[in-house]
Amino acid sequence: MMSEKKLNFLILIFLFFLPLFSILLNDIYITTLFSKIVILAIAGIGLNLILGYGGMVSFGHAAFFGLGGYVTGILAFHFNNYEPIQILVFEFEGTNQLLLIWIFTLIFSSILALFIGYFSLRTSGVYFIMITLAFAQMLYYFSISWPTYGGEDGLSLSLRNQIPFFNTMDPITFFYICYVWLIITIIFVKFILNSPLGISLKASKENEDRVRSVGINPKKVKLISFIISGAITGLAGSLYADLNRFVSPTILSWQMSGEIMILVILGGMFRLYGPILGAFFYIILEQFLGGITENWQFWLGFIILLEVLYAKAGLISFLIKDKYDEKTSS
Amino acid sequence: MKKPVLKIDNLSKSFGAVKANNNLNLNLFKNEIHALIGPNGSGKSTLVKQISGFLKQDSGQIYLEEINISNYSAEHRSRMGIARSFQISSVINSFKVIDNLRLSLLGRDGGYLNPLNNIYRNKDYSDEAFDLLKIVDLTNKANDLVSTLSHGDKRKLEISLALSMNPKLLLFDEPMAGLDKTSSQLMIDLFKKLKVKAPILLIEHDMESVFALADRISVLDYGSLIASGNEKEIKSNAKVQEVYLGDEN
Repeated sequence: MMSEKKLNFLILIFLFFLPLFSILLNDIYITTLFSKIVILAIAGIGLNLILGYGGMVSFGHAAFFGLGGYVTGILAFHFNNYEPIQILVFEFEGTNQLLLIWIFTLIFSSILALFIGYFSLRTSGVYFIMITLAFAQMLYYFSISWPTYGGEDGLSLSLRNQIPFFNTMDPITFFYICYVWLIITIIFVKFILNSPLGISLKASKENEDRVRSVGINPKKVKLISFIISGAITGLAGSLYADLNRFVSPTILSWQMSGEIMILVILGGMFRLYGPILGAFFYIILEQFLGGITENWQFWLGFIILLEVLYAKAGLISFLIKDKYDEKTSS
Repeated sequence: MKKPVLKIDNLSKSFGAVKANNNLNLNLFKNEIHALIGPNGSGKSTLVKQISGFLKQDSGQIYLEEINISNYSAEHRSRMGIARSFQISSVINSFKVIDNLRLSLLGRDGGYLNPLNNIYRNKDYSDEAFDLLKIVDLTNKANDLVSTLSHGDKRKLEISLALSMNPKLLLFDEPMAGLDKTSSQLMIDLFKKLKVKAPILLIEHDMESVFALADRISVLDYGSLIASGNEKEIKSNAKVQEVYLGDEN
């Protein structure tokens, strides 16, 4: 048992030194696995902003994750083929420069989140879950039926996209690129949670009438938060596409949305570092249980069941002194 | 002629066949506490909800300082200075007391969509929040979680939240409900001071408090206004005696 600040610091230090394991074990695959943990943690932090702090149960965050992946894949595809991207009468060149790709990913994910959020936030509860799922499924089926970019087979990237002075093909370098994004995401979301937007979001989750009675429009607060959440998840999708050098409709599927949601719940919904723990344990469990039995999902489900019944605040609640739940999340 | 701060003009609201408010006309002037009384279900809270924008009227108009606010959203009306308390305490239970006030000050000033400034380090807000808590005698509980407060303290917090909005008009829906004698007296003394700052529309069942506070009293029954006047006029009104006051007075 330790203080939350200490645990957070230890988590970051632990992640920082994770690649040492792959050097010691001389196993590059493990680094790729660690990168996946960090990327899913970024996606989880993005979802947690609206799920844990805003009470919006989005079951369609794969839409942003997948869009980020496809933006990355499509830009790289056109760069490699020397064919411009045609949108109506306009033509754009592809690129393999990650800095540009990330900017495009953030822009497109934000626009998609604005669109989905605008309509979804007119509903609440189970309808919100269904409408976000429906949007994501629309994109999923669209990607399947889009032969230009591989349809059901997906799209391969021959090389990882690049950043000047870094060899992104080196797994350890790529891990640290993801790690830096994780740190940036944590700092950014931490800022948000302490900001006017953050306090308004947390209040809107609990009592919309009170929020409205002090002059705050909870719909606007939720929409802006939804956009930020979508953009962060989109960025994670972009990193994921580069990690695997492959993007397919799978990352737009409801299973992907569920996976991100599960790791958030597993780690702890009401704390910033919860999704990082969740992503770590989710991937480790997947690998560990997957090595023992083919039905690893069954046992994962069993673990989640236990947690939801007995530790709603997630795994993080077992590691820190101050017990908390959503009632004391301010 | 004195201009009303709040003017209700032929306001009606029905829920199915039930007329909650039926062509209501009501004014609220500066430096005034106007009490609204009547049996349960007479439409008092419905009226407060319509004035504050939480419920859309079927017909009629609402004016705040001669501006027609009938179609404004609740949050817009709050920013214009219509501050309210709720019949059942409505505060952010998972926040600290002072954070409820920070939220409220933020709503008043706008800029609540800002994702970067640290609200907890805003000294102006902290100072103002403490000043507001001092008014309702809650400074010693500023850092307590609201969920741990007593019912009376939550009531006081709601009043301080209303005051934080720089109100032009205060709507208090049964603020004395469930309070002990000492807390009720604190509220009565407070409201007497507050009415100079902003007129108060007060819904209250505790007639002792109503008569101690109200400059004018209006009586609702089945959504219609059946009487309006000062304490003496209301007490001597036969219809009011029949439908509400009964043998109480």
